[in-house]
Formats: sequence, structure tokens, C-alpha cells
Amino acid sequence: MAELERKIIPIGPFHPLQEEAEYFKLKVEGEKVVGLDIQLGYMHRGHEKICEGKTYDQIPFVVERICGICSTSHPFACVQAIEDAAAIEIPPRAAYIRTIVGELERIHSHLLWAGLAGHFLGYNTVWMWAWKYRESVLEISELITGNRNHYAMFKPGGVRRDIEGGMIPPLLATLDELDKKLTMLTKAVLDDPVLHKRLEGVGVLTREKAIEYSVEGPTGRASGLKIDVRKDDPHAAYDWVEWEEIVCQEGDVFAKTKVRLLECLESTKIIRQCLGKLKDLPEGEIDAHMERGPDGEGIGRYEAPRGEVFHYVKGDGSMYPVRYKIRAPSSMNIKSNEVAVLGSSVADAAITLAAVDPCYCCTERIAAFNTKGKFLYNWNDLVKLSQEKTARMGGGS
Amino acid sequence: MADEVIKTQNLEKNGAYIGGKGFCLQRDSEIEFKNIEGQCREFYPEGELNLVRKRRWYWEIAAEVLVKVADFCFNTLGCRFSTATGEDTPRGFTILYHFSIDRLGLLISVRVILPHDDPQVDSLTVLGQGFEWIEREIHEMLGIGFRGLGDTRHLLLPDDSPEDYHPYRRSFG
Amino acid sequence: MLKKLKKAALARSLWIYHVAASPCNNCDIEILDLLTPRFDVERFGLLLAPSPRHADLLLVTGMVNKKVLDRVLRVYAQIPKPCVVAAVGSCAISGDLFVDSYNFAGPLDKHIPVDVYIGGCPPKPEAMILGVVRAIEKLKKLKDL
Repeated sequence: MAELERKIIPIGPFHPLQEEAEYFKLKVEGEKVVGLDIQLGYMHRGHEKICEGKTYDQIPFVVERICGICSTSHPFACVQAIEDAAAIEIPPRAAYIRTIVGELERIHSHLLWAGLAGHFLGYNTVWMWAWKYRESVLEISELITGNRNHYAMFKPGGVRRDIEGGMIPPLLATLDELDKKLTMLTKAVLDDPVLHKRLEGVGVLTREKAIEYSVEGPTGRASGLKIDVRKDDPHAAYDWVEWEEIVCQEGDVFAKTKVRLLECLESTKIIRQCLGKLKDLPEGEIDAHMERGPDGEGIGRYEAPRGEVFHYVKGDGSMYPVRYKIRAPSSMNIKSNEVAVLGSSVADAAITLAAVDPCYCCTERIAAFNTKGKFLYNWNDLVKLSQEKTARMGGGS
Repeated sequence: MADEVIKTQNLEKNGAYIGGKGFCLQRDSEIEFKNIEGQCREFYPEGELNLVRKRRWYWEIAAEVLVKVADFCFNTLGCRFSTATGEDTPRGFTILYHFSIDRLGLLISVRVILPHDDPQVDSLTVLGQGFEWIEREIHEMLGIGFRGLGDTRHLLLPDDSPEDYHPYRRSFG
Repeated sequence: MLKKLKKAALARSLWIYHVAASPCNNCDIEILDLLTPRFDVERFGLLLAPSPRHADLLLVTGMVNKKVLDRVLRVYAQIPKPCVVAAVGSCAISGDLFVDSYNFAGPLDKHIPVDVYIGGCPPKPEAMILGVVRAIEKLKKLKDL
């Protein structure tokens, strides 16, 4: 495993011209971070404008490609916005299938984060385990939807494909395996005394700041805010199954880890209940057959693995929207890093910035400068500092 | 499964709180909804409050009272600010501020309409940092001026974009 | 003698440098997936380079937007030639559904010469491995010149 660590440095380009603007410019004085400047725009592709030129059944494909990791969250919110504007109800079987696909995606996204966080901390075994278990989730997704990611399952009015009876036994078998592995991984992570020391009290986002920055998702729930769109704005099958919302009070990186890992276990619970209910509903009734475009405004929300995804659509009765608005959760969460990372040491900066679960490519453009503007560390260096700190504390590998 | 983990790890001691079992009664409470509707109408009776659906309200107000109304939503009602939508419509430049009352799942979308020839409105960054980025985005995409917005750098567009490059305007392209 | 050594050295390990133009991250995660135990491309001698100056193969993911174009060109300028460039995913190859976007700067091969096209949205890891094999074959031919 030490060999693996030395050879593979998968995160971040080495940028020779350090004067260039980065996404996240950390300002460092001595060993402490004293400021953070965030620049965006490198990922801006103009989705909203593109959606205005597409018909309502094409839009879920467009919004799917906003993010590859939470790729089903955007179509979920999208079809809800269109259905809200058109005031149509979807058949219950479609609601259960949507919930199952959404929760599968949540498990894979949280495991992805857990793996990357493990890597940043120097626990490469966690990285390999988490991504290995993630593969079984991707396999089930391929069985149900036809693709490992970018499922293309959603359409306004219902879903595109049914979960047939023959798919359910392998699904349940994988869920049983997954439950065991997730419990083991969760206990191993939460049990490790070095991780406690390493992550507790690091990158604290207080409740007051969380409200001021309007954060949401696991970032907000780790700071004591009891917000979860699945409970607050009931949609699909979330109101018809029993599950718990996980909220912690401390606001540090350890709390964010707790929230994400425990949520995975709740997700398997939800999927199992939905599969049980599917048996009682006749196969094939998965589409409400929306026939004309909505006339009016509609808002759809969904709890993506990172937070609330918000879609707003305004239609005029034709098959093309007049205005389409998309807001991904990271736009609200990433800004809170400005306060969360202040005062932490440079070695903790990597894990603090990664704790809000930004999109992976954002991590490539993080760099640290001193107060006079001199370049100090690129992302690779920050990860190495973090891994070295864990090793000094006696953990890692 | 999660409860097992929480028990064996003694996470209740560490502060993991599990809440929201099953249905949330408050969320469906008619009284709460009526109460909030009453508060809104009483606070600003000149506004046009449209209860389009149970959890989707649209409130059209004059641009001059935006900060007052937003402060009412954000602080008095305890809403969370979700996002803002800017649009170029025949009536003018419209900005919809979406405020969410999470415990009820209610979204109040506050609408202001600004004239095409001089679109200016007060910035809401006085209320909190969560408003800054979306105002910068609307500023560069539609060319709307936000009075009091300190940072007007480009958020999403390239830094060398020309002054009058506003992709969301109907006149663009 | 040196030529044979160089050829043999190349056959043993290939340094890959990955630059993300403006992707949705799906292709990037699938590239990282290649390193995990299921696919494990390390056993073929494929390693991710920390710097473009050490790279033989450049993988570009995502649609090239106007803000990031400069960076892609700069990275390409630093890679020692001859090198092989692979456009991974439909966005890099043609822009996919972003062709109509106001921020689209053109498909990747409009700006830098592309040798291998790995199609898909996202390409399956097996497709990526096949693409890398083609890249190795091409690189062998190039270095022979």
C-alpha cells in the first residue's frame, strides 16, 4: 500500500505558471490559513440557455450532464419542476422506481467521497475499499438502468424503464452484501481513534454561519440544521417509507463524515422498502403520459448527495420552456469554506475544503499562497501535508 | 442498520441526532400555512400574494421594498434562501427570490420587476453572505445593477468578456 | 542500443497526464476507477504523472470552454513531443450537447491535434483501456521515427 501511495498522485495538475488565477486561493500566514478566495467559471457551460432550446423530454438528458456524480439528482428535480408547472401526478410505481434510483446514486456518491477523503488523509485502504464496494452499486445501476452513470431514467410524467420482477432478487442480494460492507466501513472509520483526533474540531462551521451562508445537505446537517428536502417537501416515495434524517451538532469534518456514512445505511433501508412495495403494484404503469407543455411556473427540488438541487421552469404551453433555472447545491455550500477553513492549519486545509464534497475537478485548482502573494503549495502538496500529518499521529495506510 | 451503528458507537453521546421518523405532522398543518399567509399579507398588504399551490407561493412586490420584505422572510419567518432567478420578460427584468420554510416544505418566491432601460435594485448581501454569488451571476448574465454589492467581478463568464456581453438577455445572439 | 532501450522502456510504463477542461466529472471518475482493484491498470505499467513534463499521453476530458482553453493549450505546450493526445468522452470529441452554448470554444481537435478518440458518455472503463492500448501502439510508431 505504501508503494501505491508513492506512485499514484491522482489529484491535480502541477501548474508551472503559479501566478495564474486558481479556483481556490488559500492565503497562508506561517502555518495557518487566513483567507480564501474562490473563483469559478471554468466549468460554466451554459446549461440554462441550452435548455431553452430543447423540448421538455430532451431537458432531462441535458441536465443529467451537469454533474456526473450526482447525475440523477438534476433530472429528478427537473421532472418535478415540469410536473409542478403542469400539475400532474405520477403513478405510484414510477414514484418508487425514482426513489430507488435516487438512493442508489446517493450511496455511490457518498462512497466516492469517503474514498477520496480517505486518500486525502492517507488512508489508501479506505479509498480502495470504498471504491470497490461502490462498484457493486454501479453494477446494479447498470442492471436496472443500462448505464453505470447518466442513467436516463427520468421523463416528465414518470420513468423510462421498469424494474422487472427478475431484477429484484439480484438487487436484494447485492443490498445484503452492501449493508454488511457499509456497516463494517462505517464502524471502522468511526472507531479509529486517530481519525477522531484528526478530524474532530477541524473545519468547524457553526450553526449561525451555516444559516447565514444558506448551506444545505450534509454540510448543513452536520452543523445542526435539520433540513432535508426528502422530508420537508415530500415527493416520490419518500413519504411512504420509514427512514431517519441524520443530524449532528458539531459542524466539523468528523460530523460531516458521520452524516454521510450513516445516510448510506438509511438509503439501503429505503431501497428495501420500495422494492417490497413494488411487488404489489402492476408492472408497466410507469408513465402519466404528459402530452403538452406546461403553461405557468413550476419549481422542483430534490435532495442530492450534496444538498438541495433547485430547478425552476416557466412554460407558455408550447413544448419549449421560456426560462429554465438550475441551481446546484455546491454553489451555496462551497462559499461556506471561506469561514470553515479560517484558522485551520495548512495540513488540515485539504480535508476541510473537500469536506463539503465539491465536484472533483474543483479540487484540481486549489493552491496556497502567502500573504505577499508568493506561491507556496499546489493541491498535490496540500494532500501530502495532510497525509503526513495523519502519519505523524500514528494513523494511515 | 444506522441505529445499530449509532448504538454501538454511542453516537448519541457524541451528538448524532436522528429525527423525523415517518411523517412530519407539522408539515401538513393547515393552521401553520394560514398563519404564515396572514403574516405576509399583514406585513406588506400592497403586494400580490398568489398561492398557486399548497407549497408554491409567488409574491410580487415593488422593487423599493425588496430589502424590507427579504428581511421579513429571512429573519422574521426564518426562511432559508434557496436561490434567485433572473429573467428578461416583456414586463421588464424580473428577479424571483426563492425563500424556503423547510419545516413546512413551503417555497415563497418573491418577485420584483425592474425597467428595461435602467435595471437597478438593492443588494441583499446586507442580510447574509449567501446572496452574493447569485447576485454576481445575475449581474453578469443580465446586466442588472445591485446597489451595495461590493464584489462585481465576473463569477462564471471569462474575465475578458466585453461590457455589454449578457447572455440571458433576449437581445443576445 | 539506446533506441531499443527507449522502446523497451516505453513498453513497460506509460506516464499519463490528465487535464480536465470543463467536464461533468463522470469521465474523470471513470479514469480514477481504472486504478481501483477491479480494473487495476497499474499492472500494465500505466501511471499518472504529476506533471505534464513527464507525460507520454495526455487525456483530456470535458467540453473546452472559453475560460479553460488557455490552460489546455498551456499544458499541451509543456508535454515533451512526440506525445499522444486522447480526447475522452463525447464532450471533448465534439462538444456533445454543448455545441449550442455561448461558452463553447470548439471541439478539442480544433485547438490541439488529437490522436485517439475514446467515445462514450461516459466511456466505459473497458473502452478507456482499449483507447489507451491504441494510444500505446501509436506512440510506439511515433517514437520509432
